[in-house]
Amino acid sequence: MHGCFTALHLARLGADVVLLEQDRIGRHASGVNAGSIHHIPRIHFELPLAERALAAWQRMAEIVGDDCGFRQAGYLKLIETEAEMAAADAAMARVRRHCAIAETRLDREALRDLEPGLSGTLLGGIWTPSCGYASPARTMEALRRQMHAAGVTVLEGVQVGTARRDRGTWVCRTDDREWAAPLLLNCAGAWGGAVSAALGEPLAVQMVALMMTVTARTAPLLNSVVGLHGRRLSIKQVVNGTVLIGGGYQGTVLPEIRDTRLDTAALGYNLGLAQAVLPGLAGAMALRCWAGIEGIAPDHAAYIGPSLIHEGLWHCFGFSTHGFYLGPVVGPLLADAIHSGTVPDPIKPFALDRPSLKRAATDRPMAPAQS
Amino acid sequence: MARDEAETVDLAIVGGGPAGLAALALGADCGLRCLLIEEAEALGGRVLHGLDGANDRGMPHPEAGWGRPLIARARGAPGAAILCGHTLVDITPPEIAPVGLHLLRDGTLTTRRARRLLLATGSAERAVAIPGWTRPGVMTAGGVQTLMKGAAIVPDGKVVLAGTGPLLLLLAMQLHRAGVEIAALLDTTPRRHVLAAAPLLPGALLWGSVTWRGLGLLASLRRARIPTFRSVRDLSVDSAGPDESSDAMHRVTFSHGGRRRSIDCALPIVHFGVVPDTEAARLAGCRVHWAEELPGWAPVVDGHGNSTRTDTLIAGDAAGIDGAEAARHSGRIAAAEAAVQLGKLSSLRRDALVAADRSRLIRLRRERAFLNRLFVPSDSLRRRPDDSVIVCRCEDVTAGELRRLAAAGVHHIDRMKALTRCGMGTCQGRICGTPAGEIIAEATGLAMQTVGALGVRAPLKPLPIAALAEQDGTAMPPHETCFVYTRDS
Repeated sequence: MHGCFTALHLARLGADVVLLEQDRIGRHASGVNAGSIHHIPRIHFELPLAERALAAWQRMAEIVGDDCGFRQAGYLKLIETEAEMAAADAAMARVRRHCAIAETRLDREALRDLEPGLSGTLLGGIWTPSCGYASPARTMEALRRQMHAAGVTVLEGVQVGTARRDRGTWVCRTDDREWAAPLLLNCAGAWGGAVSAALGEPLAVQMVALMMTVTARTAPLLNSVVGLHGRRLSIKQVVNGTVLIGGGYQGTVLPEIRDTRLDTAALGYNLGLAQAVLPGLAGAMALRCWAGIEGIAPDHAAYIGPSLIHEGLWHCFGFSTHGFYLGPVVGPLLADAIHSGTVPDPIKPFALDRPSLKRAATDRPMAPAQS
Repeated sequence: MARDEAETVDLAIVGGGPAGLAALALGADCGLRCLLIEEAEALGGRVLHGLDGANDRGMPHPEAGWGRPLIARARGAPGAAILCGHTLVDITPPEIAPVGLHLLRDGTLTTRRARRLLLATGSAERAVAIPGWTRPGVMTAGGVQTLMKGAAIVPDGKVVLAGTGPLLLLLAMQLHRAGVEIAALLDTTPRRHVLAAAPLLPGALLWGSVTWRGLGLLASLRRARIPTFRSVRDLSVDSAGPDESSDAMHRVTFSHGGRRRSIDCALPIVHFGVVPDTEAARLAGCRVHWAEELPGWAPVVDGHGNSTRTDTLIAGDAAGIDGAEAARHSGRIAAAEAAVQLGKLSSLRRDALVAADRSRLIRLRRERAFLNRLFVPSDSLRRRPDDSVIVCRCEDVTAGELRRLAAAGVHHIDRMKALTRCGMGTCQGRICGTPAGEIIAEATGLAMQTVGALGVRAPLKPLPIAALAEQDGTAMPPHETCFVYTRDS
């Protein structure tokens, strides 16, 4: 997602861009995520970027020639307990402090009016009408078409063996040839940590497999994208009637074959919770469960910015489940930054030496990056 | 849900047909602790259906001579556990643990673990997208046979059988004997296939048994005076028109001898042969290859039954269509190999134990080469349906749409799936995956291996959310994840 968006905008600025992809573009988290577009929960400095991204999703047809299936269905964060109810105001105030995404508090009755299919035991919710969802598959296809039109050379199924700096030029060795360029951009997602480590600048990123389930077409159950305030859950019924269920439950990553396996127990918990929140789901037929490989940074924000040790090297990865949402806004900003040499304000806080990374490293040490 | 049975068995066998039963008996003889998982309520698979215990009503059965003893041996195998009525939902290979088999029965998921997995999942009918194949009421030969064997349900009204393959001829005879009126048997086998297969006929007659039975069957069909049309082309099914009645609501149209003909019937039955059922193998992560001689996807398997995964073996028709008798032999060969890998047998001892199975298998495969060459559905049927023909019945994707996107550069089946939803419906790509791939391959000139087989994801069969869901509200999964952002700064 980020490699494609940045490549596209660099090419539109006149750059000669080669995109090297080890599998197929969008094969992992970018193309197989659940497509939710909502802003919570996020580190505070990501909220202004989230607001801009929301505006970008509204204009996707202008940016990539397709609306990418974006539907402004609204996002509903449900409140299960009195304690969560008490904390909801503070959560909304925090969002207001950092951005202008409008949220409303719903009580039990208002919630029932909005989504009558939800469990009657819920106490209320926080409603964000401007959020929604889009289709990752359509987005990646639109990007593929646009990159082709803009003249980006896209090479898939290509492994980068080595990359070295040679007299002001980066030289990337692939199976059958070398690619030389003054600029090198690491958008390797969950593999970004391994790439950065190979370049001598280890940036911690944890590979996780996030599980999702999709049902067969089902009678209308839900209009908005639904989550919980206190527990991990995501449910949405998309236009074709299928229901997507996720929320961030982990399967297992098999790094050698770049594949994943499900954790049946965690999946069972995920689906049990979904069914409790939306009782109509019980009879819906589950057709596929899968997991996408995603990279999580220590403070749950992406690494975006120039390398601290190399000339001509930029990083943009580790979006920690927020990458799909932020794709349309980060690509143009990063392309501008690379083109002009100055980092625009909205992505400045994502610099590789930001304070929250150091705090997270001491609070929650992470396992070293997997290669 | 998700009770984990702590005990790890040596060999878990999926599928209670001839291959699985023979593997169970030999595995137990070698001292392996075996577990056999069968989706149906009784053992036997499709071929030996109705020969197991309470399920066996003592009816005359063409395979009873060897089928009953095979089932009895499996039932009596020492140290073996047999789980009938269990649906395989997911397989987790031992990157994580010993092979984990997640099974569903009565809404409860259990996990069984095994050191080796043997997939004996048999075959599935080949889907061929002919015009009208998606009309409600059109059935496959396998579907009709299952209803006849399982529920003693016989079609009401005139039937037309169309397609190719031994099962189609067998079903025609079975229907005739059950008193069903067969309006026509439309054999799409082109004459050139008969000519191409002819040199292999002597070998088939010498080494096999199916061909002899086939010749007997053809003679019986002739005696029964079933109207038979050979080298039929341009087959389609449509409505019988405005004054259709329930006993002739479908119209089957075809070309024969340069003329277009139509026959009305109550039940059109189509069948185009069988291909290996590779769903479980692909779910486990075993590599498949496009076997042009079938043609169809088949797992990559060596002479011992090993797949490309070191923990998984594949036997019987699931490994390649060789028929029921061959399945018994390849089941034994694979079980013996598992016994070697688990230290219960030396490789010398294994070779002696299955030497007779190997030589019989070689002979049966000569016969199978004849049958494959004879009964392969023609390229035009498989690869060149009209643009208007629906290929993916769940999501209404036509051959024309696949061709349009293929021409625009969408070559991999997984990309085609993401773009068109072909393969994303309730058949989970089981039916449409191969025909869609063949249409893309034909349109682009690419090899099937390049177009690819659809990825398989759990659950292996569609299941209600409630069946997979944790019901009792137990605690959150233990491995608390790192990515829920809780801290503000």
